[in-house]
Amino acid sequence: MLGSPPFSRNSLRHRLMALGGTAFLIYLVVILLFFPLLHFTLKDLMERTIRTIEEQKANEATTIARLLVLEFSHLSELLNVEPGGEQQIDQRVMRLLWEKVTFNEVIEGIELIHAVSDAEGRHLTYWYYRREEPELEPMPGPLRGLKKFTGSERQLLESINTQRIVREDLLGAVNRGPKQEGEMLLRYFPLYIPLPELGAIYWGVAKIGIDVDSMRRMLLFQSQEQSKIRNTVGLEIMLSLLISGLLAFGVVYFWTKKLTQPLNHLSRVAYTLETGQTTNLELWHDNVEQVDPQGQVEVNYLRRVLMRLAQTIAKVSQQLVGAEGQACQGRVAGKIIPTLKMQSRTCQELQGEVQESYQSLLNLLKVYESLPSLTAAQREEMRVVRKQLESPYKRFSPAKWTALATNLQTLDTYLQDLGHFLEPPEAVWDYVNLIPNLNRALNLIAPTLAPEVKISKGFEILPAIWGCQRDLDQAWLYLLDYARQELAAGGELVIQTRQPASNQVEITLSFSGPPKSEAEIQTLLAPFQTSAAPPVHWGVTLAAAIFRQHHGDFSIKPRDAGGLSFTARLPIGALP
Amino acid sequence: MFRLFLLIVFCVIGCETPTDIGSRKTIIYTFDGLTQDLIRQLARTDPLYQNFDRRFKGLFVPGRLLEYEPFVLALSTASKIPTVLLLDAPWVHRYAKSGWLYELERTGIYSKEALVPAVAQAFSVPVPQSNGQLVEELMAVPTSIKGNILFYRQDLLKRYHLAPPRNWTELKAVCRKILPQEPGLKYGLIFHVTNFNNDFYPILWGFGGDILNRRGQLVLHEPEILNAGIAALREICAMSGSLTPSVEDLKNFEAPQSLRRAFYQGKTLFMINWNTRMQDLKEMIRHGDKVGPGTLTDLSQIGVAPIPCQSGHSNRYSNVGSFGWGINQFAITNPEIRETAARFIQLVAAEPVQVLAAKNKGQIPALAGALEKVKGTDVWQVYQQIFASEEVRLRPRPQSRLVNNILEEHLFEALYGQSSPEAALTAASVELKELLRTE
Repeated sequence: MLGSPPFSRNSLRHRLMALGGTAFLIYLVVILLFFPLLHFTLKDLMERTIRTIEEQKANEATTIARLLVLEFSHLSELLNVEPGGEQQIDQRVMRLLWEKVTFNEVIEGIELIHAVSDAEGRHLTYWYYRREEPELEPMPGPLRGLKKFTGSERQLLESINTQRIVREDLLGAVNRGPKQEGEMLLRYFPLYIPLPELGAIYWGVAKIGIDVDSMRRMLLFQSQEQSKIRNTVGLEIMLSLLISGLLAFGVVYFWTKKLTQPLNHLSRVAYTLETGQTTNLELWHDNVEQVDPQGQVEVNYLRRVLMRLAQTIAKVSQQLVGAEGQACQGRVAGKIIPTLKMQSRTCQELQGEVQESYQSLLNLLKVYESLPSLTAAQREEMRVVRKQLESPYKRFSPAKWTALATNLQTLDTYLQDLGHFLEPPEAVWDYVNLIPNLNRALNLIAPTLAPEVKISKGFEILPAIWGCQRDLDQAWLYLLDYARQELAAGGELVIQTRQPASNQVEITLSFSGPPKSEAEIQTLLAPFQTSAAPPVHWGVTLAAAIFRQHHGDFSIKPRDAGGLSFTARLPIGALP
Repeated sequence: MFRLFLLIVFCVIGCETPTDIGSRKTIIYTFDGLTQDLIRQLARTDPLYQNFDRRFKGLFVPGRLLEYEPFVLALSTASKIPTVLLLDAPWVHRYAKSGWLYELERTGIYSKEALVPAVAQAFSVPVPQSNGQLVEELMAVPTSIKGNILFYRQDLLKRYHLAPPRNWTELKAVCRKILPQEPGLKYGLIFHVTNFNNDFYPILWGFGGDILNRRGQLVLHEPEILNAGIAALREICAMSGSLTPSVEDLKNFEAPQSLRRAFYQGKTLFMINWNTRMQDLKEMIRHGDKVGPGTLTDLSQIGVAPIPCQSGHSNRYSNVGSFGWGINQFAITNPEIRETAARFIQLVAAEPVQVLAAKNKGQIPALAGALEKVKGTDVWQVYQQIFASEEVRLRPRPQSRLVNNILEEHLFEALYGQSSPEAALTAASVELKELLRTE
C-alpha cells in the first residue's frame, strides 16, 4: 500500500479540478448574467405590449366614438335646442344615449355638450353613464341640464368649441386623471350637423366614454403570463445549470482522475522513496515499472528516469554499504592493532615457552595477514608481529607461562572477534541470538575507547529474533564505532538490552559526548531528507536501514548531559 | 442547454424592432373625375402613370352629398380615410385651422417654390410655431389657378381706343362711352346673381373691406371695414338698371350658364366670371351657334382683366376657386403612408397633368414650370394679364357657409332693392357677429 503524498492540494489533479470548477463558475456567472437580460427583454416586451394594446384600444375607442358622432350628426334638431324647458328633441336624444350606453358593453357613457355657454360658463348637456363601479351611484337614466366643466376638460372643450381642435395634450391630461364618471377612456370630438346648402354646422362636443376593463384584464393577463415565463425560464436555467454543473463536475472529476492517474501513481511510488518508506530498491523499481503511463509521454519519460535512478541508487547503495562496512571495520581494526601489538610483544617474550601455542598463533596471524579488509600498513604491522613472534624464544617462568596463556587467550579473543567482524558470515536469515555478538562487538570496541571511559552493560536475556546475523552484527559495529568516535576520555557508555513486549526486543546504546541538535540527529537518520550536509560516516544511517529492514524501529534521542541514546526495537517473530 | 441556447437566440432576436405588418401599401384619395381623365390619358404614354389605380384607391363621393361637407365629419372624428383630399381653397383654410391637414412644406412633402406665388399664398395658412409666431405653411397643392376675373369686349375697347378699366370709375366711364354707341349691348356689366357673394368678395376687398381676417375673426363690424363694404355694395347697386341688370332683369341671370351666354351673345360689355369660362366661350365660338347679330365669332373679341378696385387702391383681387390636394393629418400613422401620399401628390400635381389640363380644360397651371410649357396659348395670356400681375391678389372667401349664406342673403336684399346697402351690410355684420359669438 503506497502512502499519500502530502502535496495533494497542489497536485496536478487538484489543480485541474480547480481549473474545471473555475471554468464552470465563470460559465455560471455568464449564464446568470442572462437573468437581467431576460428581465429587461421581458420588460421591454411588456412595455411594447402595453403600448400596442393601448394604441389598439385608443383606435377602437376612436372608431366607436366616430360611429356615435356620425350617428348624432343626423340629429339636425339639436341645432334648435336651448337651455330651459324640455324640448321635443330632448326625449329622442336621451333615448338614443340610453340605448347606446345600455346595449353596448364597450360604451361606458356619452355626453353631448352644446358649444354655447351661459354667463356662468355652463353648457347645455345631455349625458348618461352606466357607472358600473361599486363606489359610484347609478344614474336613473339620461339627463339633460346645464353643466359646468373645470380644469383640463374645460380647456379641452374651449379648444374644440373655438378652434375645432382636439388638443392631444389636454386629452391626455383628462384621461390621466381620475374621472368622476368612473374609470374609462374618454374621447372628445366636435359634433357637426351636416345640412344641405349650409354644410356641416358645428353644434358642440360629443364626449364618449369607452370601457377599459377588457384592456386592463388583458394587461393583467399579459403581466401574469410574463411573470410565469420569467419564473419558468428562470427555473429552467437554474435546472440546466444544476444538471450541467453536476455533469461538468462529474466529467471533470473522472476525466481529471483518469488523466492524472499515471502521474499520481508515479508520484506515490516516488514518495515512498523520498520518505524512506521503501527499504527494498528492487521492489521500488518493480513498483515504478508497474506504473501504467496510459500513453502519456511525460509520465513514461519520468517513469524511465525513475527506473534508471532506482538502478543507479541500488548500485551506489551497494557500493556505499560495502565501502562504509569496510571503512568501519578498518577503523575498528586500526584501533585494535596497538592492543594486539602490545599483546604480541608480551607473547614474544614468552615465545619459546609456548612454542606450540606460539606456532598456532603464528599460523593464525598468517591467516589474518591475508584478510582483504586490512590495509597495507596494517598488514605490514601484522607481518612485523609475526616476525617478532618467529624470533628465538627464551625460557619462561611459570608465572610468565600463566601470563603468556592469559595474553594469548586475550589476543586470541581479540583476533577471533576481529575475525568475526572482518570476515562476516554469509547473509542468511535465521533466528539470531543478539547478545553474544553484541558482547563481541563491545569487546572489540572497548580497547579502542578513549581512556577512562566507563562502560556499563545491562543485558537481559533476550529471545532469539528472526533476522540476518551478518547485517545485525554490522549494525552493532556501526553504532559502537560511532559511539567510540563521540566518546571522550572519562566518558560513559551504557548498553542495555530488554524485552519490552513479548514480541519485541529493545537494545539501547547510550553514550556521552558533545550535545547534538535535532537537525544533526535527523541528518543521521535520513541524510537525504534534510538540507544539511550528509554525515562523514554513514554507519548510523546504515544501521537504521538494517533495523528497518528487520521491520524494527530505530530512534535517536539526545541525552541531557550530552551525547546520544540509540534505541533499536526489533520484532521477534519470523516475517510473514 | 439547448433550451438555454434557444433562449439566448430568442433574446437576441427579440431585441430587434418588430416590423410593421399592418401597414397598407395603397392610400385612399377623394375621387375626382377630371384628375382620373387626365391620369388615364397620361397613362397611355407615360409609364409613371400606369397602374395608378392599383397604387391609389379613389373614394367616390356622390355629388348630392358634397353639400353636406361629409369630410368635415370624417376629419373632425380623426378618421384616417381619406388619406388625400382634393379641397376647395376655403376648405383648405377651414380644415387646416382645425389641425386636420398635414403640413406639406415643413415636412418636406412639397415645396411651394415650384408654385406660382399668388396661388401658393392662397393655399397657405398661418400655423403657430413653438415660439408662438405664425408662419404661412402650405397646406394643399393647387392643381390650377382659378379665380374670378373681368371679361370684356376687347374688340369694342380697341375700337374706341380704351384701355381695360383698373377701377370702378374707369369701368363706368368706359360703359358710358361705349354703351350709347353700341345698341347691341344691353348691359355694361353682368355678374352672378346666384352665389353673388363669390363675385362680390373681390369687389369688397378692392374697396379695402373684408368679412373675416386671416385668423377667422369677424372684422366686418369694424366701422372702417363696414364703410368700405357699404361703399363697394353701393357701387354695385348704383349701377343697377343703368349699367348692370335691373332688379327685374336679375332673375334672367339666375339660371346656370346664363352669364356666359349673355356675354357670348354680345349683350354685355363686361362680365365677372371664373377664368375657366374662357374655355367655355372658346367652345361656344368654335361651335358657332349664332343667336344674334352681336354674337362673338372670334376669341380675340374677348379680353380679360382683373376685377376693378376702388380708385386709390393699388391691389385688385380675385376670389380663388382653385382646388388643391391636402393630406389628412390623422392618416399619417407611419412613414410609409406619408411617402405614398407624397408620391401621390407629386404625380397628380405634376407638370404633365397641369399641362394636359391647360390644353384640354383651359386651366391655368399652378406650377411655374408648367406655365412655361403653355407659353403663347390663351391660358398663358390670361395668366400673364391677370395672375402674373403683382397687384393682383388671390384670396379665398370665408370658409364658413353660414357666413357666406348670411352675407349673400343681405347682399340679395340690397341687390334687389329691398334694403339699402348700408342697412344690408350693417344687418349682415350684426348677424355674423351673433353667429360667430355662438360658434
